[in-house]
Amino acid sequence: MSKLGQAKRIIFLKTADGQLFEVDEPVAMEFEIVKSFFDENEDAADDTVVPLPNVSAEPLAGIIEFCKAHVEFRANGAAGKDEVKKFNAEYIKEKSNEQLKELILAANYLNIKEMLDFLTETIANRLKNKSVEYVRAFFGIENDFTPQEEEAVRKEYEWAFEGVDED
Amino acid sequence: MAIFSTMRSIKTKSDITITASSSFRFRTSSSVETVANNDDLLTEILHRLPIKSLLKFKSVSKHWLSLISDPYFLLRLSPVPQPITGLFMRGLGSPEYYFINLGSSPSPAPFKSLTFGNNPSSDSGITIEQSCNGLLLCSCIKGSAGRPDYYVYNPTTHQYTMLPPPLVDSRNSGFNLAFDPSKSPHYEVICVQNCQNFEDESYRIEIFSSKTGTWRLSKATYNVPVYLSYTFYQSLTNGVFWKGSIYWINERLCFNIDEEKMQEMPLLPAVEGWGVRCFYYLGISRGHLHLIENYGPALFNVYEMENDCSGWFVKYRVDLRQVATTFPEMIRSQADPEGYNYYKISTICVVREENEDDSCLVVHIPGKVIRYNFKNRSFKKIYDFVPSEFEFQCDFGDGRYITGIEFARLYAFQYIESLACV
Repeated sequence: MSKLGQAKRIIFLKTADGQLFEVDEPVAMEFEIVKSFFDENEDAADDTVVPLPNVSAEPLAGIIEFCKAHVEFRANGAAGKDEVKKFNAEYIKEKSNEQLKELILAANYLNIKEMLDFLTETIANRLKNKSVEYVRAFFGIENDFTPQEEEAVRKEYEWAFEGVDED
Repeated sequence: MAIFSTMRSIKTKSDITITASSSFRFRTSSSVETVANNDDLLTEILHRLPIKSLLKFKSVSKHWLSLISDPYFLLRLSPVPQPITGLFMRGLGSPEYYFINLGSSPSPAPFKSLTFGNNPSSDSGITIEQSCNGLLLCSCIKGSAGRPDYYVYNPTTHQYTMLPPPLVDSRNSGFNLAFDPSKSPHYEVICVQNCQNFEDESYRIEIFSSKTGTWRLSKATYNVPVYLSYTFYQSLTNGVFWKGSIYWINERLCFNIDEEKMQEMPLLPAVEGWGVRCFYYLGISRGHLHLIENYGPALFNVYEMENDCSGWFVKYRVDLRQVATTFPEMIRSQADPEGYNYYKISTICVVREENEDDSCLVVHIPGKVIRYNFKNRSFKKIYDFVPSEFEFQCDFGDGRYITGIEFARLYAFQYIESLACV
């Protein structure tokens, strides 16, 4: 970790689509996969480029933005405060469902616990009052029930279908 | 600049290239990874959904149905402590239950009356005996003789199962449900039986486990005071299950299920000059065991049990006399204003909330249920009873009549959403 007076260490990350990212060390260390890479390879050169073959540039940029803000919140002792909630709400507001799915896959691959918690919670909130059809479309899931089977499952929990939001 | 993926400039301590390291790998998926085919992610998302959404989403696909029905999924699903979604209250002389919503968003009543099982006369109905962490213990009287049938029912999934008869099938048996979804997906039922029929033991306890589906005789013994012995089983029924033990308010006893040991319940702090004390509520909310003492007209102490079960402390002091200025129908005008029965009032549930400032006491007054906030002492009406056609009515013939709900202490049973299998 960088200390005052020392030059900030930069970590180089390369995405699946060939983009090179330069990330401040504390932010990159939020990614468990990057952290354990350097833990296991203490001799790794400072200019090592860590390949991220499962992440493309767009979600990575979004993830860096999120982690950078949260590292700063923690440094300022703002963790858990309204400021953080406000940032999170703003951050997610403009994200489409497709972007959310890309982000969660990337955050899962990079193994960023805080962000994963936040994204799973966000997706759950987007889905909880939606229809079954919306959920299928959201995840691209094919309905493999026969109409009779589906009817039977639905009938069992009829009351759970009350009060569904519009898609 | 060294490009790691070319494996030229990176060496580990052991001088092998990174990609050869057994404990570390950058996986590349051959097919396009999606959230839908990543069960770990899906499970994480599902765990954050309310139970109602989970039941609805069982019909998304066969895969989702199996994910949501998996017992290990369900076990992890049980956040402790669980919030109370609502209360079931049964009207007098009616098979119907009132549902009092306590959740933040309105939730429909899971049922009006209980009609499952092979009960030809749905009129006599199935009655709730006890609620325990999402499951209900219900009984159904068949005809005039014999022991009632007992059921364990999940009001969220509408699943039920009938308990097999205990080893000694005696009518004089008290049944108690013990279920802690944070510990096990299985539940137990403790049956306390009348000692009169047994020569060597003062009483007998049998334990049913839903894991084995069978009853076994407990080794527990306890010398029952002679004066109680005949009706002992009646007092040891519908106990409150907390931290591995069943607590009975009437006899101030508790039964530790793992150790199969009957113990005295810790006594309440003594108050000088208080001879007779009046306790009538024992219940759980968010993992806390509470007991209410009524020590004067509309005056209550809410005690909480210490976490190590060593004793009680006063958690809240409640003065509901203020409530009567808004709802004067609470006052029995002919009664002595200093007397305990001056107010028609029944404290039916202590509700602890995540934010302690929102914790409240649910109180039944004539025709209504109100919610009283412990912290800021505000109160509001949350339910109006509408007498149904089944309602017990007593007509005085002069235009006055009372209905069952006008005022009687009705039992309230907690509704906690659960996907637990029965």
